[in-house]
Amino acid sequence: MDNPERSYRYLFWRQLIISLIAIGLVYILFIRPIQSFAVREFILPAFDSLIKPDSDILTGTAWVDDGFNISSLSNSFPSISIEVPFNGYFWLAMAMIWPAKNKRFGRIIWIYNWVLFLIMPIVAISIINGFTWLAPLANVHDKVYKALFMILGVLAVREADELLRD
Amino acid sequence: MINIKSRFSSLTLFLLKSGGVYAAWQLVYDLVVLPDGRVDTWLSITGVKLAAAGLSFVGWEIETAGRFIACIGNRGVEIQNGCNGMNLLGLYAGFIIAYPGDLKKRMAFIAGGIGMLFIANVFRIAFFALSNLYYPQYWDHVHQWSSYVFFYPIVLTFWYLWTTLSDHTDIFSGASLSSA
Repeated sequence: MDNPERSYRYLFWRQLIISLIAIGLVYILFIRPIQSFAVREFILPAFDSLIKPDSDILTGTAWVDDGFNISSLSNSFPSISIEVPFNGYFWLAMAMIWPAKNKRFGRIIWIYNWVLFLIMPIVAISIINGFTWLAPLANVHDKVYKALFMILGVLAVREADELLRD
Repeated sequence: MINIKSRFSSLTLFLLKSGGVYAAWQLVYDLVVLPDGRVDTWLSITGVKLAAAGLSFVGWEIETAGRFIACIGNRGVEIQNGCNGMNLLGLYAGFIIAYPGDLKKRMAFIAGGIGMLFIANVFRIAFFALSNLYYPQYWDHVHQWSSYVFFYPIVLTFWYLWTTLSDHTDIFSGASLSSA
């Protein structure tokens, strides 16, 4: 016998798993390689050109390939990574938010990623130009915004499941 | 006096609280725990030892030296501070701390989740050693994506379970939802 409540919830969870797998594959196979290419060929050389020859600043793609890291030769500030907006955390959150059809959370994450297009270059240029006290703050921001994206994803799933249960 | 609770929604307050917990954790980690190195070193070396013991138990020939692990005759893997899952523990616990719920259950959930993440890290280290033996050409990919495979499913699942266990649905955006 059909149980509509169970069916809707079942469909939602199935959709969520499909979304996570499909978006994960699209991200790994297409989006990330494009982002890595853009960083390697355009973004990193552009920021490298801003570094003075006698500078203590070092850039590279040692730990991330969808962004670049900025570190100090003399360890005068903690290393930071500057990742491109719409990175893996955006797609992970959206893979949870889209099946949940939570427009509010989706909008927050979408808008914040556009804001990152301003924040990331400003942080990178500031550190390159000697405002190295920004490095710990940049690290904090990096971890906080990624965590909040994942939290919004989980809350969207939880809310959708609760609504379908009701 | 401004009543913060009446000015912001439960969701906004929760996100602010989470952000505060994460910011505090990251500052403590970057400025105290990581430079000090003891906790990270312990985590790395213990993870390596347990992974080596597990792999040896099931028949692989493993050698270790401090934070290095390798299948005998192959390239080793070094578990560096900052790459040993320590940061993930803070990520996991931050949500549980910020999301409302019973204190005892919360403590149990934090301990259980951290235990699970620790075990997942042991499996991850073992996987690194084996991937270096069988598929060394894919090392960069294995290293890059390992967190998504070993840690995030646990973190997200435990977060979700905590929201169901604590049963504080007033956090959600929909006004139609209420606590049972």
